Parts: sequence; structure tokens; C-alpha cells
Amino acid sequence: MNVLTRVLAALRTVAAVALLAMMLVTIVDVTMRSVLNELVLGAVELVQLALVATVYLALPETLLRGEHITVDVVDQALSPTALRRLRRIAAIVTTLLVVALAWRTIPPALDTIEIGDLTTDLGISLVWYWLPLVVGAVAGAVAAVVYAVGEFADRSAAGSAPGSAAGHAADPGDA
Amino acid sequence: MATEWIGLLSIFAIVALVLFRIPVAVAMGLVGTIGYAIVDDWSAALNRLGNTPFELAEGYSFSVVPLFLLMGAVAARSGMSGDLFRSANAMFAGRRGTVAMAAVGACAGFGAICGSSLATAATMSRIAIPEMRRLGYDERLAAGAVASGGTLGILIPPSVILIVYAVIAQESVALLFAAGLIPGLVLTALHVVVIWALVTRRPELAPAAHRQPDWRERLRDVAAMWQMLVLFVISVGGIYVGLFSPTEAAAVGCLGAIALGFATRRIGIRAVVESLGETVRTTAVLFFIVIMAFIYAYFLVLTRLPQSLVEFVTALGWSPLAVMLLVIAFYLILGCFLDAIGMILITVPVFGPMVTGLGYDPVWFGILVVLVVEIGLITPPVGMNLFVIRAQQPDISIATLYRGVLPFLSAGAILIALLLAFPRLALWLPQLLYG
Repeated sequence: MNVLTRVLAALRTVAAVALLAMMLVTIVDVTMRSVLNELVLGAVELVQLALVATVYLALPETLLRGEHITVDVVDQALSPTALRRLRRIAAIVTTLLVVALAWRTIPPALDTIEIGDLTTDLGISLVWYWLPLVVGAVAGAVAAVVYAVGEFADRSAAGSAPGSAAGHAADPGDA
Repeated sequence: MATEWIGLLSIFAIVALVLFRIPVAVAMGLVGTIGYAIVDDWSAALNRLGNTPFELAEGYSFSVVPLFLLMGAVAARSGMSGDLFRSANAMFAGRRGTVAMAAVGACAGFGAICGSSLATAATMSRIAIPEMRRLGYDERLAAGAVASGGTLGILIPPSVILIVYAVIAQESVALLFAAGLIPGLVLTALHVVVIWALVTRRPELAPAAHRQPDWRERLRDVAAMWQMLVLFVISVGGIYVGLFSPTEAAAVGCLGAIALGFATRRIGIRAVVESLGETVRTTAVLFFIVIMAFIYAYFLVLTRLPQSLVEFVTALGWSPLAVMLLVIAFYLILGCFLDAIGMILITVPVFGPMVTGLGYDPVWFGILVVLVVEIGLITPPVGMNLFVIRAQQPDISIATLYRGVLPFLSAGAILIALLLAFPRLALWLPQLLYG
């Protein structure tokens, strides 16, 4: 397991912890409201923070594994060479978009530090909400580049990245 | 070129990119950003790209998605699907085609605790198809019943697709969950009728009924689905009676699924950790599409395509029903090539205002769209449920699968007709619960 894989797996673990926290905060909120008729101050803000962490910290690993939904209807009709070319084009286009995304999330995140906005109930700095987004986007950009390099190194039509062969590796609830 | 034409071209551009293997999210984000730059300018387009992902931090209602996904992932690991299959078998026992009907019934039951069609098809195909093959069922009937039955998972609440529709159409998740229940149950019944008609006309498709179990045995087996009922009642039931918001219901459902799994000793910490890992990856994939769809939707608003379409259709003077039939035909064709989430996110911002402008209820339209998208999950060449079953049962040919699901398309077609003729089929329960 190389360094990048380990770092992205660690980010995914943080995302999983955030999801668990999201569940527990909501449960405590519901219990307090039902049993003690009291609201947990800032439960909504904590859930929102957990959601941002869940989504963006898990994103880089899915990019490294090529798990994003792709329609592979043309595969049967194409030669292995043509298919390999399409896979490479898709990897380049994905990389360009994710790199642009990472680049453009940094300025508004820096603005937040300067302005110093806080949430209403708990007074959490909005920087904490931007942090998982920026970390996820930058790590995602690195993951997309590594995935694209892997596609160019791979000579087979099916591709070597885990999850890419099926074309529909992840089930987004359709889902 | 008028901006409306740029908007219209963008739809074709996305479909073309997706067909050439560009990931759905990337195709929407790319077309949205470039389109925005053409209509406005590059600086505004790139600012939109950088700022839109933060909208997730302001959307508390989005948190319902990972929580319901987690509930389904835990339930799948707790063996509830096997219990449901046993219960459904007991309900339909004594008829030719019992096991195929049970597979559909179990799919509907699993759909009531899992918001995903693919997860429902994957789980049930592991249990029901080998059993049907062992008993001598025709492969087409076995695979067709599970592939089509799997689609029930996205109409019966909780449903991730209904939540995605709610997000993009800015509708209430609770209303949509209430509206989906009766059409989902009707569709389940229609599936059972299709199986009954198939085995009555062609008895060779399924073996003759086995011995009929006595009522004591039957009652015991039916009771095996108690865990599913408990989860459905505390989560979706909690939303219906106004006890919980959808997010709260999903969190309670997650805790319930984990507690039941531990209490029955069917899962341990390891299964919960695996479920969390699987759920966050699925959530990331799903929300990447949703965020990119937001960027695309901003561009569409800029082109004025949705408003122009409303004006165009009004000027045509066609009856609302004729327009709706055209919209349904469009979805059915698109469903052959695109995945469900992509289809909803690309089309609802365009068609939503037009359909509500014609006087249709947006909640009713949501149910109709999800139903039509469901049909897309089992129509070739891009029938995701068929791919899932093929991955689980590689010795069943794709041609057998296509032939197997064909009769079940009639169930979806009948429900579309029923929804068009009787909109109250979807709207009665929301009106009863929420006025």
C-alpha cells in the first residue's frame, strides 16, 4: 500500500467517523426533544459540518479507484485500442475538472479566514466547514492525476484501477 | 446564438459525453462550467465552480441521504433479506410461481428499509435466483422477477432517488415519501399479477406448487420479517405521523438497524465499520454528481431554457396530457442510455417548471419521473439492475436477462397509465397525512 493510498484511506476513515457522529448527534437531539422537551443547541450546525466531512473526505479515494458512475454501453462495439483511448480521455477530462475545482475552492476558503464568519448557535468558524472541502478537493485532484497516470501506463482495454473494470463500481443509491 | 439554444445543446452534449464514457458527474460539471462561461464569462463560471460545493454545508436536509444509505447497508449485512424471502414464500405458498412472487415481495420489503434499487437487486439476486434455479424455475422468469422487483426499492420509501428529486425540485421529502408508498405497493401487486399470468399461460416456466404449509408454519415464517417491519415503522412511519423529520428518521433507523443486528447477534462491530466505509464512498460518488448537477442547473437558469420551454409549450396549445405523454416518451428513450440519478438531475430543472406550469402537481410528477426512471433501470442497453444480476450470476446470459424482464415492463406501463388517469393514487396519502 503506497503513501497516497494510506492517506486517502485515513481521510475515508475520518469521513466514516463524521457519518457516525452525524447519526449520534441527531439521535441525541431527537431523544432530548422527545424525553426532556429540550433542543440540543447547534445540532443542525454539527450535522452540516459532519456532512461536509463525510462527502468531501471520502471523495478522493473514489477518484483514485475510478468509482464514479460511467456508462459503458459502447464497450462492446469498440476495439481494445479505441476503448483504451476513451478511458484515457475520460481520465484527463476528470482530472482537469477536479484540478479546476480544487484551485477555485481555495480563494473563497481564504476569504472566510479573513472575514472570520461564525455559525449562529455554536459560533463555529466557517473555516472548519471549508477545511474538509479544500482538503478533499486537493487530495481528489492528486488522486485524479494518479488515476490518469495509471490509465496511461496500463496497456489493457479493461483498465487496471480497482473498480474501473465494472464501469458501475459504486452504487450511488441509484440508484 | 440565443442562450436558450445553448441550453438545449448542452443536454445533447452531456448525453454524448456520458455515452463516450465520461463519468456522469464530470460531464455535468464540465458542460455546466463551459456553458456558464459562454453565456456569462470565465471568471464567473470558475467562481461558480469553486463556490457551489460549499452549498452542501448549508443543506441540512442532504444529511438524510447517507443516513438512509447506512441503514440499508447495515440491514443488508444483518440477513434481513433472507428473512423477508422466507416470509414472502410463506405468504404466497401453494401456488405455481410461489418463489418468483416471493422474490418480488421480498424486494418490496427490502425496498422499505433500503433506498437503493441496485442494492435491492444485488441482495435479492444472491438469495432468490439460486433458490429458483435449484427448484427448476426458468432462468428468464427467475432473473426477470429479481431485476424488475429490484426497481421497487426506489419507489417504496425510503428512496434515495426520491430524495434527489426533492433536492433538485425543492420539494418536501416527507411529501414524496408519502406519495411513493401506494404506487409502490400497486407496482408490487402488478409484478405478482405478471408472474401469475406468465405461469398460468406457460406452466413450464415454474414447477408445480409444493406442499402447502399448515397455518402454524406459515404464521411463523411470515413473522420472520418483524425486523423489517420494526425498522420501517420507526423510520418511515415516524415521518408519516410527524414524529421525526426525514434526517431524524434516518438516524433512528440506522441506530435501530445496528441495535437489531447486535441483539440478534447477526452483525458485530466489523460489519458496522464495513457499512460505514461503504456508505461514505457511495455518498461521495452520489454527492459529486449532485454538486455538479447544481453547477449545471445554475447554467440552465442563466440560459432561460426552462422558462422558454414553458412559453413554447403554452404557445403550442397542446393538451397537458399530450405534453405529458411526450415527456414520458422522452424519459423512456433517455432511460435506455442514462443512469437514474443523472437523468433526474439533468431533466428535472428543464421539465419541472414546464410540467407545473401545465397544472400538474410537482409531487405527483416526482413519483411519475421515478417510476419512468425505474423502467430505465431494466431496459437495454443500459439497464443497471441487469448488470448487477449479471455480475452476481455470470452464467445467465445478458440476452436471457433482457427476455426475462420484458414481460415486467407491462407492470410499469400499467402503473404509468393509472397515475395519469388517477393522480390521487400518489396524492391521496400526502393529502391525508399533511393536509
